[in-house]
This record gives sequence, C-alpha cells and structure tokens, in this order.
Amino acid sequence: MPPSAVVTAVDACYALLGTERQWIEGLTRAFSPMLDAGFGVAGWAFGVGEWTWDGQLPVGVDSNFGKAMWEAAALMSDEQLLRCFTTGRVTSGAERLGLTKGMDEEAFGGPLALLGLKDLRALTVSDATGRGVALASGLSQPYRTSRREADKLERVSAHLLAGFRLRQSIARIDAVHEPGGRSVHAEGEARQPDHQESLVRAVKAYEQAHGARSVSNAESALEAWEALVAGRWSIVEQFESDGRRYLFARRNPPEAPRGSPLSPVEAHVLLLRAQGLTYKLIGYELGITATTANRVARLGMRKIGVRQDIELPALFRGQLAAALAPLRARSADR
Amino acid sequence: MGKRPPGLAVLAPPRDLRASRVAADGDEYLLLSYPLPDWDLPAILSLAEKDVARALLAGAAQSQIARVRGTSSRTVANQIASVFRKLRVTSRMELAARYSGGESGLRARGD
Repeated sequence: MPPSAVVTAVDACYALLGTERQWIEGLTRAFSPMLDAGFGVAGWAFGVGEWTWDGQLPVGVDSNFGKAMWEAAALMSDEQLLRCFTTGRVTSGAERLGLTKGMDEEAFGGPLALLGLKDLRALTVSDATGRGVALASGLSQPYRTSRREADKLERVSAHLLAGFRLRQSIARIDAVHEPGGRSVHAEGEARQPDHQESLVRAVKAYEQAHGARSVSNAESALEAWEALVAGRWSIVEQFESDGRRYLFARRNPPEAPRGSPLSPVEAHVLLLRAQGLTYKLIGYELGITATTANRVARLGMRKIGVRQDIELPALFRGQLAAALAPLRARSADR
Repeated sequence: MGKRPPGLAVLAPPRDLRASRVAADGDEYLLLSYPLPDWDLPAILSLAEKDVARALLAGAAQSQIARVRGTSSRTVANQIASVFRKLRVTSRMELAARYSGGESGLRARGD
C-alpha cells in the first residue's frame, strides 16, 4: 500500500461538506487501493440495534454485490449482525463470525457465494450511540487479517471515526469560544442540519458577536496561526465565503501521524515563491534542485491550507513588504 | 542550504486573520479565516484583459478561462500574452507577486 493511498484515505475521512452519501462514495473510492480485491468497495452508514433495509444499497459496488450483502445480512441472527458491527474495527467477515472456512459455510453466505465470494474484508467504526460507517470489500477466499495490516488500517480507521464524529457534530455545534475560554453560542440557525451552512453560520455568529477585531483578538489569531504552523492542528476542511478563505483544523492528538510543524526551509521556500521567484531560482538560492523546491513548497502549502502557490504573494505581502523595505531603502540610497 | 534572508525566518500570519475555536462533542476545532486576494490591476489593461488576468490569478487554466468567457483558447492565449507584455511580467506567479494588492504589492525582479 503506497503512503499516498493512506493520505488519500485520511483526506477522504475529513471531507465534511456534502451529503452522507457523497461522503461515503468518496470513502469507497479513497479506500479502494487498500481494500479492493477485485469486487469493489462497498460503503454504508449503519446504526447498531436498528438494522433495517430502507431500500438503500451500499454505495460503491454494483447492485448484485450490494443486494447479496443485504440478503446475507437478512439471513443472519441479531447476534451475528451485532458481531459484524461491533467486533473490532478491522477484521474479515469470517473472523468476526468465528468461521474458519469462509462465510459460505453458513446459510447466510449463500447469496455471496453465488458471486464467487467466500469472505468480506470489513472496516467498521461507530460512535458511542452505535451509529457508524462500514466499508467492505469482497474476497474470493477466506481471509485472516495480518497484524501489520490491522495496525495500519487501525490508524486510518481512527481518522474515519474522527471524520464521522465530526460530520455528526458539525450539525449541532453548540458553542464557539475564544482561546481564552469565553463562549459565544451559535444558536438558532447555526443548528440547521446542513453541515456547510452550520459551519459558516457558526463562524459568522462568532465574528458578528465580536465586531471589529480588538487587540486581544488579534493576539488570539496570532496564537492560533503559530499553533497551526507549529503542527498542533491539522487542516481538515477549507472553503470560501464572502471574499474570505476559511480553514477548519482539528487539534492533533499527541500520537497523531500527521501534524508535523512547518519547517524553516518550507517557510523560506514559500516566502521566496511569494516574491514571484521560479522554483529554479529558489533552487539556486537555497542550493537545492527545482524539483525539491517544488516538493518542499507543496508540503508547506498543505500545512497552512494554501491550495495554489499563486495565493502566496497576497497571503504574505505584509511580511514581505516589511522585510524588503530596508533593502529597497538601501537600493534607493545608492 | 543558502543563507536565510533577514526577517523571513518564520511565516507571519496573513493580514486580517481571524481565529476562533469550536467545541464539539469533546473535540476541539480551530477556525481560521483571511481575506481572499484583491488584485490591484492597473488601468492600462482592457476590461477583457483584466477579467482574464483575474481568472489567471485565481488559478484557472487557459482552457477553463476560454470556456467561461465563451471564447477560443487561442484568444485567451493572446490576451494573456498582452497582459504579460503590458505589465512586463513573464509568468502568472510574477503577476501575482506584483499586483497582490495596493501599495504593498511587491515589485519583483528589482523594480
């Protein structure tokens, strides 16, 4: 599994905007390099204890596979279903059900066997209420999850759960507060179910409550920026509204694989790029190749939520103007 | 690795940066926002050239600009060439560096 596959999957977990179905479709595509064994990756939301088929088949797979999974589920006892959705986050279907020769040794495996499937590789996460999301792929042979694979997928599934919880919670953001702790409640309209609208309204409720930026708020913004640059937060979503770019970041747990701070070299490359220098010239300046300069810039941009390098000059013009002023003055004196 | 220019060791926050924290289900989220660029293009450009330049600075590809404006890609290429010639720049990055807003816009390449 290439490292880029993990990055793609983690990014898909935090796609906060759009409908649940769009999110799950994105997940099935992003997790495909990790899970797909030739039959596609199925994804669906579930609620433990309320297993009902409302006519919605899993997304990401053809309808035959989707129907077969539902038919298999319909043949399972409640206890077996519960084991499918609560026994660990990353195991095969047969492992979850305690079967050694594949799911087709039980009656419920029949619908799957008709498609040549003997097992499913499944990744499920759920919150404290029992609601969650499942991703599964079909396997033509019984499968045992290796320790190494389970460890790797466990790390990704932690992001899947975080993304799921975040999506659930954005719709009911209950408070926006300053770093100092004072709360500003985003009530009424901010509680609408549409995630993007909720987020935008919560931010605007905060900004309206504070009006013009005071010195203390500017200091708070500076603290927040420094924390972002230091890698204590990871950007999980960004959007534009009313002429502003909004970045939405999650606090990194200490053991998080992401969240490395912006290095001095990355900062230096970004500032040189912001001056309009080509990567070739930046390479000359820093004694690195143009390709390396480009790669370093992309890493740096990712860390501070900049999509394209064309945005850099405007973003850092104040800093660059201040830094270059003495040089210009010296140049004018000559 | 070359010497770092004085005063450029760290990235200062963007102008008019706003920040707030969001508490949700026991997790903490940070919301940051800053203004999108307000390109300060000179009057020497025609209206069509300004439109094309703004699209270019927003990161649009030549073909995308042509599609949105309902013109051919060749026309857009000519307009971009005209913008670069009039403003004496050689790339969109240089364009961005020079016209990223008001008096503080940078003048690259020793202007």
